[in-house]
Amino acid sequence: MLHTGTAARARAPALALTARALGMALALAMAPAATRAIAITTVPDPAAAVPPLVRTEKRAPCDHFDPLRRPYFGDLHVHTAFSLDASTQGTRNRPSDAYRFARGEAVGLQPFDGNGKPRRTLRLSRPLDFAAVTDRAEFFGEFDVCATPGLPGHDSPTCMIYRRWPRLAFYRINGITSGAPKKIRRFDFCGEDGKRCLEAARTPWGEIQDAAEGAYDRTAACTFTTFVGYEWTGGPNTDNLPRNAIFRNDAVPPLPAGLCGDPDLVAQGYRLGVPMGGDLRAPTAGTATAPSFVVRAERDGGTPERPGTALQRIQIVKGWIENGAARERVFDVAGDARSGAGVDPTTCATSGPGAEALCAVWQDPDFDPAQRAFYYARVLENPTCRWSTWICNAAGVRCEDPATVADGFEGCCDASYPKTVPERAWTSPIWYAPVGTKAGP
Amino acid sequence: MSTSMIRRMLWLALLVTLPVPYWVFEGGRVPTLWLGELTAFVLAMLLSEGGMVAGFVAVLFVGQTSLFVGVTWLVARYATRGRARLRSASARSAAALGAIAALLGMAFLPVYRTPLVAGGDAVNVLRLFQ
Repeated sequence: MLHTGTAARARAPALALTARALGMALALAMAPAATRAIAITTVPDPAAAVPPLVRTEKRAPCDHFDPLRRPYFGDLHVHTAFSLDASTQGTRNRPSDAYRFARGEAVGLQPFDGNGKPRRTLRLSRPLDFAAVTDRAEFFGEFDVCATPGLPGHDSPTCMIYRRWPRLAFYRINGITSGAPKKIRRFDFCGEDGKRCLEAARTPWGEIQDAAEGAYDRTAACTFTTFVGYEWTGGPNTDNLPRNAIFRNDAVPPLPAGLCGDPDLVAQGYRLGVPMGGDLRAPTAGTATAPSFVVRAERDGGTPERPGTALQRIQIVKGWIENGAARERVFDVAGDARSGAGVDPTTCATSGPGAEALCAVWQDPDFDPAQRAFYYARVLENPTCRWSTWICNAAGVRCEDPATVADGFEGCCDASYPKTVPERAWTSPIWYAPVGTKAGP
Repeated sequence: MSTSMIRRMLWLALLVTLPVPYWVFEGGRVPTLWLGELTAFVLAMLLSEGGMVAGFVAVLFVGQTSLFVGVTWLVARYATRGRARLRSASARSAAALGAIAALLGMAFLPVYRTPLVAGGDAVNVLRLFQ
């Protein structure tokens, strides 16, 4: 049930601003990622005043507050039956059980006998001071659907395998999270855009919050502290390690989906981030972590007669100067360039998959805090006919029949003119400059 | 009983009871029928959900199930041929029925083991299919 404890890590929220161009809505923002570390000083400096405590929640002040600080011990990486790894290995303990365990109570562990009685129990010899349940959030909804009879999708083959041979499901689902190139793919039984599973995810996410609140001692005794949190495991091509998100109070998003799932994404962007066209300064605390960008795009709705085209991908374009020469690199951050979407140039009929909306949180893998750079986002639609192809088709031009090529339409059969084009929108750049240098272009 | 009938009965008994080795990320010893059951579920998952991992798993299951369907058929075939060396018909029937009974008896012994069932503990065939 338990993972090893990890040091808490906090990150400044990454932010967004929206704009509309070419009918597509875009959001792009960035913010310096700040980390907190535990420091030990050798000589207390009375002049170095402890910053005033800013309380972000309603609770009684602890009756044993010590201005010289005390060490506390806890675990900020705990999995329960809501996590893929744990549930597929037989764990049945839920978040409230995890907090009971952290507070020193005994909990039962797998394997279980035919009556559901655990064959092993475990108790901490020294209870913890704080804990956070950080279950793997990607598939909260899928697991709830698979475990709850009657929900649509419960009888899907994937759910049957999950219930009968959970260890096999472990490989299947882990393959999705570790191989996902840009975004976790929802299972088909989750319905359109995964809505069914995203809705179902509210149940375990709510239980996690309730368990944290139930175990949190808000009295002046301050015997035990809990945090609402989750683990995000998805790593593009296994490049990333899992990360834990720990919330400082009970004000948490309706779904643990990261910034892209935050309904207040745009508001957060305006309030806290650097919007498109803005200047980003390097963090001053010596942190060299790359800033995080959030970019979101929505499909152009079009008109009833001419509906908009589905989105194919989002790119972030980075530019910088190296040895006096302008350099540029393009990153695909959402969507799929090889989705198979296409267009028939003879009819301009489109085909293949596409997205209604795309969103990504991205960090520059080559970020150099000493290097000036700019970043802007580019959003590509699925391919459609170029304007000239529409005109040629409307004029009835068929290049295999020269009689149909009227004067002035010779260009219709000129292979140097592309027949199709991916329409695109792009943002103003965000300018990054190291401390002490001038930002902007 | 005809030779073909004996061969089919022996083959079925082998499919249901003979533990064969398999590997799908982890290894085990299970009857071919159990492999067939998982193959059916994995193929259904592949058809409904797709995906590279599901495809890879399906290939492993289909390949190994096919292999052991063939192997057990060959075993049944050669066993029935060997049985023909016995002179009397009653001895031939007794040998065939004895082999089938032995296989069925083995099904009740904890000689099957897979990480996907009972945490990898050795179980009998009934527990395997629960």
